[in-house]
Amino acid sequence: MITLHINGQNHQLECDEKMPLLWVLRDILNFTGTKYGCGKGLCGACTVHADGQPIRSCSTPISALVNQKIITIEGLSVNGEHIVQQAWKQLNVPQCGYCQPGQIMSAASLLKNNPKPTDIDIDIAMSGNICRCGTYPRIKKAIKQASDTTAPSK
Amino acid sequence: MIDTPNINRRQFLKLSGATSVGLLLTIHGAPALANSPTKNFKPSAFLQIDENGLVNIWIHKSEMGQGVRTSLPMLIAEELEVDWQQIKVINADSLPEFGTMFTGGSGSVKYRWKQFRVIGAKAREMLISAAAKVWQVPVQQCYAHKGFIINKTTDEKLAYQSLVSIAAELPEPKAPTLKVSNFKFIGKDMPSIDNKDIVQGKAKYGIDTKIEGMLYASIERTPQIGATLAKLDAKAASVMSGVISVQTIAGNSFPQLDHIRNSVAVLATNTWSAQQARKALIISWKNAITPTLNSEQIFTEFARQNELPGFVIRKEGNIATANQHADEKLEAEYQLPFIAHAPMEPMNTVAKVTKNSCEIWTPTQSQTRMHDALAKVLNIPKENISIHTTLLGGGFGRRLEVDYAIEAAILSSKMKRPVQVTWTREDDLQMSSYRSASLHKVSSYFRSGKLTGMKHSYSSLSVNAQQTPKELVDGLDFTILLPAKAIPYQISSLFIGQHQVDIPVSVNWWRGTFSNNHVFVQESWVDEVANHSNQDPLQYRLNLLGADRIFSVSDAPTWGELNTDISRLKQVLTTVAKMANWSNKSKTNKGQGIAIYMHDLASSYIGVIIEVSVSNSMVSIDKIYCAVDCGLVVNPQGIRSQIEGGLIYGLSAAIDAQITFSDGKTKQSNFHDYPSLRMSQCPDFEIQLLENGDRPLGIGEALTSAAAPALTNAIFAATGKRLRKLPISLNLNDIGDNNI
Repeated sequence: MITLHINGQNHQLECDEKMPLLWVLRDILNFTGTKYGCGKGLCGACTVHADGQPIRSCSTPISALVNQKIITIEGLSVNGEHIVQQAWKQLNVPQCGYCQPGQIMSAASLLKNNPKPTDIDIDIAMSGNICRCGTYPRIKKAIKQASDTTAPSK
Repeated sequence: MIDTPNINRRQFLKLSGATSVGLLLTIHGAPALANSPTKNFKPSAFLQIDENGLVNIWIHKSEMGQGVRTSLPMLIAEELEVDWQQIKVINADSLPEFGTMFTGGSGSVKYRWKQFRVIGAKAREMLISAAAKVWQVPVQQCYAHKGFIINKTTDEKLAYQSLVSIAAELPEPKAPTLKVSNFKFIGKDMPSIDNKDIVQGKAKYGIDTKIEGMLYASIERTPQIGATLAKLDAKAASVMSGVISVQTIAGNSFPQLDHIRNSVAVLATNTWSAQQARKALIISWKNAITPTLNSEQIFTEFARQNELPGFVIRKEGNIATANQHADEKLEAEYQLPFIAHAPMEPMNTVAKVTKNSCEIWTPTQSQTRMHDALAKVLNIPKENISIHTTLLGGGFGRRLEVDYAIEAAILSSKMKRPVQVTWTREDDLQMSSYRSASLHKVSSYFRSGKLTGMKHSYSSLSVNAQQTPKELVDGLDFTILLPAKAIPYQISSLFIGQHQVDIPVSVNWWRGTFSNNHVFVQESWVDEVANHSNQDPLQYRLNLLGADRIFSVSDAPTWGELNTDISRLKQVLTTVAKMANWSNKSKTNKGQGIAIYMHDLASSYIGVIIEVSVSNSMVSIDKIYCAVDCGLVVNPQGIRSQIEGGLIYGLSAAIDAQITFSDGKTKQSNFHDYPSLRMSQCPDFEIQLLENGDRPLGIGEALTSAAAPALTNAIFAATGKRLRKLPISLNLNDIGDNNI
């Protein structure tokens, strides 16, 4: 038995402790917003937050996450009102949308740690997330817009 | 008439219960029509207005990021005169009333532009007639506006929902009047209808399907085409946690339509357990068609074929004479690799098969093909099969194949339970069908400094030859020859020979299709010839395009006539040159490269200039300028998305992507050795849409072909190094012949 704290709630699980968080989220708890893309931490589609930091849930066994606060895309906001989600909608970022939960979780984490990122900061923080549709130009603009919304001007 | 909402408690509850759709709740002005039975108005398989004013629109095209769930409903909404908030978009199941269901070729808006407006316009005219009947006034006295019919004289209003029962009884107008101006939707930026769900992780892709009692399957397939099972020991796998069963799947022979490989599936209570147990299977394979096949052999065979006559695609002037009389000749060989599609959502399907029925939840581009394939494999009547299309996490042509659904159906049939098959990324890269590699031998002939002839011989594999030989025309695969036929430049003597090579590597269409191969050659070649002639590559292109005219390929099969309006092609070229402040003067380590073409399927005109800077063999793409004439623009922001995305997808392939083979197996396995462009590599874009004509052309596949030649031409401008072999990251040191 293992207890995970996900989106503000405790979940008691009886599955293999080696199971990566991604599959526990998707197949056991039905949080399907977090996506499978590569299974090797190469594409970022499975990004969630553990104690505020972005992690690749496809390659993180749940045994490593006990006592951590996990936030998935479903828990980022109640109704899609997080500044990153709002910017994504305003700038029409998604195309197929499959990678976007991971992109949004990476962007939200970036802005939390660095409210006024430079272009290079954005490149570094976001280059672990692949988008095959090619939404990068809009992702970058959306992060800047979200940053302008929150960050005090210097 | 009483000015009160026509709403009863039952309807109110129904309204409140409906979620995720903006409903029309403002029904002030809707009169209570005494004794009128509430029912739906469904003038088309694609459209229904219900008793609550909700406009349901069924879309039979698959949404894979190209925005079709937004653009096609915009066309209906435009003519129907409704608020966007009234609309609910539903993915159509594979039913006969939707005809052949297939999404590809950049054709959804291009070919449905009239059909979907007519659907909306007919419904609008019927609602107007219904209101005229209620008011007992001529129809000319009524007009439609935002979900209401309005009486011009009295300003009275009737909401659509109050008219559905009357409209439903009226005859359908044969030729409704379509709007020609004052568009409310067409030409306006419309956000994707799915954005709200996507950003919250609520959008449902195939992989997110959950069905009661469903098992999760991971499948170990033969890594070599055609190989059969020699040995299977599943003892260790069978006893692993979560494992329910191990099943073999009998593949079919290669090549054929809907080829599936021989395989062994592990079925478990979750995906991870299935994947883990799969690794514990002890399997060996035998009797592969070509157990020693490697990439070098393939390109050697291409080179051999290129020396043979082949099929003649273009033959103008006299190439032999041009060759004989030439005082200068250039020879060049261009090479493109096999590439995978690698959409972010790996292949998957949920199947629920019973003795005589089959229900499928799937992200596919080919519902009709899948429907036929399942009926054949399961031996059940077509009418007992239903296919529910989910959102697609990218498609790019990969989901034109239906192998993933056949596997799921076979497993569900064996297990007598719903089964989800999910391919791993490794499966996706190693077991898929690829965009064919090609090798192009190009000879250019000059006399007194003037280009007199071009001879182009090329070899590749053919999708149609492998899958649908009946569609070959005189033995030719038109998808391969079309872009060669469409070369717009005027060359006194032109000879193009095509070779279809039969090698057991499964090939499939890839976003932009064979244009990607041809345009790379065409636009590299014209650049080389211009530079050889010491002329500005831009001006040289303009000269070689010749006079404004319509250049027609009248014998293009299946896709109809291919007509290139040379003036439109020149217009994108001069526009993009202006945008980029085109200069052929080389600055240190910086360069601009052009590519222009009319895409053979999308029919859109593309002009792209890429700016690069180069230092220490490191190329950085600084900026991409793009002028696109895709005819009338329905959703500008969606078009711009497709332009950015198409170029980025094309760049990804041009820079990094290749699939290679060794011992009959694919070498690459995941994004570490099949890299995809990342944000840090992504340039800035400047895009201009040239609106021309009175109908939309295609866009989804139109841009990919521009990326490679514009990039390699820019690298040449910056360095003098001509790259003729893709992907360039592996060939940056392959300087080639600089003296051309």
